[in-house]
Amino acid sequence: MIRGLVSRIALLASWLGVMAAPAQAADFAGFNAAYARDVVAPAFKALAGETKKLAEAADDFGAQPSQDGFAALRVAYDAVSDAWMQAQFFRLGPLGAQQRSERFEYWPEKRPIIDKQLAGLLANAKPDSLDLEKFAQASVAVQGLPALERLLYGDTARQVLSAGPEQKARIAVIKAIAHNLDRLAQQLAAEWEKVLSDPKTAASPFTQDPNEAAAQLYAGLMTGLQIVSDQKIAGPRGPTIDKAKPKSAEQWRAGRSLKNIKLNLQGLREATVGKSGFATLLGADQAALKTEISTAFDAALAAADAAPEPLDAAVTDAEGRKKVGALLVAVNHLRDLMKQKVPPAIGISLGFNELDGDGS
Amino acid sequence: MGLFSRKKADPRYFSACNFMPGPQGYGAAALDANGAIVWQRAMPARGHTLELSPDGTLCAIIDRKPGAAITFCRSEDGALLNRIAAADGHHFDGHAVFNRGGTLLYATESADADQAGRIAVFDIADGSRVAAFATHGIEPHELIWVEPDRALAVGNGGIRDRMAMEAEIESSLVLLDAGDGALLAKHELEADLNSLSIRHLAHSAAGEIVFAMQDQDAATEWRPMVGLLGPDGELTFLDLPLDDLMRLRGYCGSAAIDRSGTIAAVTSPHGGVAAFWHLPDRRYLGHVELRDCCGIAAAEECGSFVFTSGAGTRVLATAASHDVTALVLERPVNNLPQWDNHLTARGAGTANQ
Repeated sequence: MIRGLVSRIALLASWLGVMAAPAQAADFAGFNAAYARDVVAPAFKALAGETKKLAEAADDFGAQPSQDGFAALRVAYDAVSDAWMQAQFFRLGPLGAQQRSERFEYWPEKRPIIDKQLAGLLANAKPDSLDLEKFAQASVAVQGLPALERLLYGDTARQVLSAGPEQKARIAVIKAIAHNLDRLAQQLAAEWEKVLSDPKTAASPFTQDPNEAAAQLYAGLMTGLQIVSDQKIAGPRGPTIDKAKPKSAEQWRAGRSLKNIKLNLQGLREATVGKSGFATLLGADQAALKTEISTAFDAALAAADAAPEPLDAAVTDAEGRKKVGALLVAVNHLRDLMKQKVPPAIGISLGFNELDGDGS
Repeated sequence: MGLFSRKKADPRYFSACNFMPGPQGYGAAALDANGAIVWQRAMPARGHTLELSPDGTLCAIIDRKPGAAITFCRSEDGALLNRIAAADGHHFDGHAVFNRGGTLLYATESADADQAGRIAVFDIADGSRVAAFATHGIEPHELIWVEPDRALAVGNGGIRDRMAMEAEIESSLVLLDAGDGALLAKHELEADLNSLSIRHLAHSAAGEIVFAMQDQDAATEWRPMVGLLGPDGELTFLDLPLDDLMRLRGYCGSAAIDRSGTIAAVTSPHGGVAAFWHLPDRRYLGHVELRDCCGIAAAEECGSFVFTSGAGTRVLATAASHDVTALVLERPVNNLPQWDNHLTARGAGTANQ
């Protein structure tokens, strides 16, 4: 029955005059193992390295609060954010399970609950509710980077430097978030290490079939591009200047909105045309497509470099909006290319329904 | 086939699809019960649902939101019969139903400017628009008959802007008089559930409306994903274990009822699962995994469903009293065609051709 359908599809495709690229004898098992080893696992290992430093910085600050300690916390927060921006699209497996992605960074904030829940937590920061196990069950709104950003960069963040009960509560919550992030990152790194330790799982991580695994790994990149385009750029930009939403920019308090976009694009480029990236699945006769992908990434990164900092100010300025609009166009061009041309060329099929929401 | 033939028509399944990734691959197809493609046609735009006329002879291909057109085809061979365009300043929302006589088609449509919802009524004979009435909400999606030719249920999705950062939307489930469009009932969810969009509907044997939802804010709370509107007007939710609820990822793509009218199923393409309930007992039966599954339709046997994946696979799931089993019907090696959101079944014997 299966062979029958396949031949009918081949017939149909030729009948339509638009035959998809012939199913290659691509070595998906080999690709997955190399991608897991050279792309995914190193990203989570780097993240886990930074969260460990963040947890230590939080402990150090808690032991002896100081201006320097506070500055060190911010540096550690930035380093964790940098690493996260290059790891967040590897959603297959552990990151996509148990809400780990949302616990690490609940963003965009769909309803204004982070400030409210964080205030509640600070007012009632009992040691047992901040216990690592309990805290992991708390609302995603207070578990991760956005809550920590408010404690380090919010209007009242410096209250943590003045002795008193407020300082105690803030330190306790900072430590809880830092250790929670560290635990999440250690889990992610460990799970992918485990994948690498067995050639069978490395060939087909978290799935039955190597082709399926490759398709899902690729879908993670597409979700990443979608988030960059729709949420990180188009969201704050809005359709018109009077509908701009600067406070919808990611990590605007920390001044990271545009940097995050650049880091996302760099990470996505590495995963595509870097070592062991998806472009290694392209045949020798597809060099032109590989060049086209690289060019599209370069154009998107150049447009990001040309956009003025900070993003939340740029979107409410007529000149700035033009540059941000050009960035959006470049990212969407890249997204179209990655969505339409690349999957058939590398022999995978993107899910038709899982990525899109509108219309369904 | 002779005039007095008693041979029944074979079951058929209909779906919009993509024959190859990208806009040039948009199409629609009919399948037999074994998964063989009976006919296929290329389409100028991405389709959403194929709706069958009650006698099974006519099929309407409704464009995906924001839809420009509805295409009528002969369901035997897909031959093009007619195409109707959306009204100026409006677009179709992806779903429609025929009246019992197969003479009228009722389609959901929204205003481009503010998403204000309407039901547009078309005369099948010439494709003319004969009426339009408000859905008393924005962004209407699926509509079903509550009482054939008399009352319609419509899910007002309520999402003004999918990419908006705000979770609060204006969704409702409304009952409308099919004759004059009068609002018979409007059901809205409580304030703490106002991120839920009521989009897909199915009708049970007991007269309940099953509604499947999508959560615009799936991360902060595990809200119910499937509800029931009883004939008494009471709203309840269908329970399932937290692990299974989490697997739906706050997103149901399709809802269906089996031939007995007692087993409800929803799919989540985001979570790659279909979930099943026994309605009379309000009992959760379990789930089946299939990556990117969305289309689902009742199969011939009671308790059985066929469902389709955007990655090409078709599965037959059978929900028995205490568990659910799955049988892969087709898993094309090149994952094509990719099946789109909805699968429609035409049961054996629907039409005598």
